[in-house]
Amino acid sequence: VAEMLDVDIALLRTLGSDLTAVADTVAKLDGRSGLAGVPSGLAGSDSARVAAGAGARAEAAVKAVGARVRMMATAASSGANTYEAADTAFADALKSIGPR
Amino acid sequence: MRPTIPVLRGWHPDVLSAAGTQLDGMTQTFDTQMQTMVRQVDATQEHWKGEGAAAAAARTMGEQAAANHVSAAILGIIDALNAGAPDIASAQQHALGLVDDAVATGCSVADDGTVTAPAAAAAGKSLPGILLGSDQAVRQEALNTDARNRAADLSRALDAVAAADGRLAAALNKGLDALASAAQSPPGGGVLRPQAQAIVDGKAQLTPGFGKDPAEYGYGGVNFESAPGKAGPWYELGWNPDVHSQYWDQGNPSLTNMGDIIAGHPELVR
Repeated sequence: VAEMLDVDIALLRTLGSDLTAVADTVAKLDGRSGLAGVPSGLAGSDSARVAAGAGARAEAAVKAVGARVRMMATAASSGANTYEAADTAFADALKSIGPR
Repeated sequence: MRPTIPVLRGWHPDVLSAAGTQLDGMTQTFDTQMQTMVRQVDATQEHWKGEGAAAAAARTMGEQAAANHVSAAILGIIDALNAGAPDIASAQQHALGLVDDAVATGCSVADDGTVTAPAAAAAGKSLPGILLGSDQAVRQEALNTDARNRAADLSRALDAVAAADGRLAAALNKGLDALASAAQSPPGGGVLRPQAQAIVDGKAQLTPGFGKDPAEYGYGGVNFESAPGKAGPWYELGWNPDVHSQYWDQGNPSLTNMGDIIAGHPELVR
């Protein structure tokens, strides 16, 4: 059974912008620079060879989550618009029936 | 891999600690942002009801679980870096100490760690030379024996360096494997069994009384761990939503298991 619908459009828009801010922060995270010195700092070692791509992979993993948060933000923002449009369309449909 | 002496002199294991610190900072920021996301979505739930609100809550829980797995994998890498730095530094310091000591006694040390004794005539002031007197052949043999012992010690020390390097490489590989596993299974990636999929698709539903117990053998489900709850089994006390809902309590293994399922990580369920 579907739950009763109750939407605060402004709250949903705020959620969209808040989640966008989260996604923006995650998108700027840097996992590479710290490990950049390992290949030269331990030249020729097995550790350096393994560590060479570790920063990029760690960064990519967190950014993949951040990218999905951005999609959530987009869904919240567009959802707010959709709810509002549906409400307006419903009202317009009722009005278009004409005077009683 | 066993390094040569010049290569070993060029190593700076402190770069590992610096890398760990930087990754730790990134992970903390990431975790903070994920907690912010959860708070933001939670804050909407009081004034947002319906399928969309439920989907947002489920999605958020799934992303939080996915983020936890990513963070845990990165923390494994950080731990490896932080443990590897002193491990390699200690082995490096010991090996180079042996090299410097050998050179100080007049020996020459090749790049591969081979130690060659000085000529006896030039070793008059060395301890073996003084103790063994003036017989040059005897003194040379003593010096050669000393050099062989030093070479053996140095060889073991270089092996210890290689072992420390190998331990770190293995630990990093393990962390990267965990990271790949966490990153390759985004939330919602799991496949539901037919009975569960039918419920999700609206083709079946849990009837009053819930029908056949899905935890029973033969139903086809997989049981996972859950704490019994502080107030006792809910079904012995009559319907008690507070008791029944303790499977969502922080610290209850069932909460972690459900998060893993939602995040598409059935392999992590206990």
